[in-house]
Amino acid sequence: MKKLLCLTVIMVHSFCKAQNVDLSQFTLSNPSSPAFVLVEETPTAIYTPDNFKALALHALDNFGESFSIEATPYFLINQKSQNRTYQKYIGVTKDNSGELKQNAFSGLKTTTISIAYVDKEFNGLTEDRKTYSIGARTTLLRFYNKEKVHKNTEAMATALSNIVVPQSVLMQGEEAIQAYYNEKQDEINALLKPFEKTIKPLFRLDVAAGYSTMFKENSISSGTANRIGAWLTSETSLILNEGSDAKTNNYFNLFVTARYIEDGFNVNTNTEFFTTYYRDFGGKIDFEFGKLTFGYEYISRNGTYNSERSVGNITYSINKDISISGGFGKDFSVTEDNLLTIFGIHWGLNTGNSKVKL
Amino acid sequence: MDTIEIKSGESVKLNVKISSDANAGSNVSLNDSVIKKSITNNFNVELGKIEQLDDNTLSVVSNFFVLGGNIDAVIETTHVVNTFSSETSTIEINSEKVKISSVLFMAYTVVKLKKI
Repeated sequence: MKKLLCLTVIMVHSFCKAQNVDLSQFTLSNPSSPAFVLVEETPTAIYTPDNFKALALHALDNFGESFSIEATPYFLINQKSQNRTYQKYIGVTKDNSGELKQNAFSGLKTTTISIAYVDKEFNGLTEDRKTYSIGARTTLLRFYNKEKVHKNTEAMATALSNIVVPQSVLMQGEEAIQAYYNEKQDEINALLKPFEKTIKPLFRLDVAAGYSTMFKENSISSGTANRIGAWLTSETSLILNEGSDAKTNNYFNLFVTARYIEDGFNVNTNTEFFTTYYRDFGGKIDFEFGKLTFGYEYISRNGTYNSERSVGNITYSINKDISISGGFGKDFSVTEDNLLTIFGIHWGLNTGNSKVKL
Repeated sequence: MDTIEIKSGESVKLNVKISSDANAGSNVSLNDSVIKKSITNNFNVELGKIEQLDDNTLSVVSNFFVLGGNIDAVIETTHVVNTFSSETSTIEINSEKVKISSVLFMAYTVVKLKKI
């Protein structure tokens, strides 16, 4: 398993090295996966990802012993479709009369599926256990400021239409074209700079579910214990620097979440596994200042045991493909051993070289 | 570079159809002079009589900006089809795609227009 992970890391590193400096500062703001959230192996239990990779890798502080891979099927299937448009993708289109309309369900395209492997010590268990998880999430509803999105879309397309390439360059093919864009990078950057700012939905509602299984004695013949959960997360976003010349939009985000969990990862004094049931309800506030995001989350847990999670977290996006995150606080636990400190790094995987240093 | 052969006396029309999840802006040039810019995914250009176009080079360049950091998958699912039509013929040419950076790619085609 560790060899596989090392190989994956080497591949990721190679891909990342192949990427040159980005044209913009769009960042990877997908800090976890549902498969990870279910086993509480994440700096934040409340998140709504903004950008999606066909494939993303999440690895946390016990590096080599916990990782998750998340895929976005929309980008991997029906690749020959001839009817895709950016407007359909984001869900803001014009109808036949020219009126702007919004498809509140366009976020379903961002559905992800994830798998996770975690080797850690769970509460009540005396040694580390290998756990395998699957999860899925989607954005059920999202509402943008449609006028703003439409205006931004048209202005960006106009800027793109102004990038003209001489025919003598086009006739020489790929390398000459990349060299030409490289040569013109200052002009192109100036054209596209106004569109670096991410426009977030005013409101979105995500739904996610996960299933996790653990071998009771770390052997296949020992039988399994299971954990299953489903949760809803809403996010309301307000721009803090509307109209400013800043390079990024700064946001205040308010999250509200509700979860239901059946947890079979419990052992009594006779080392017999048993299942507990929880209903979680909580929220999170965070502030996004460009690459830096910090926030605080609180989740109240009611059910077989009553508990709470109270965690401050911070995320820094190194570039659009790599972000690091950390969390510190009190995790769900009815024992004294409830301090949570966790550190994570998240990669988005792009393939192919980007030879132009834009 | 492909050559598009059109019968003498016929008018030539170009249709460009773009399918992509990325926002796109295009320009069409005749002998390096821009004759059309477009911000839509499906547009037409009336090029005129072949006699006026004979031996001219026509290029179509579409630039794409990818929000969301998933450029490789977006490139893979992007298709640009250029259809040249006259009274008696229709020719389709798919644009070649070139990745420029992690947020920008382009698609292009260059053809020679020939009277027969």
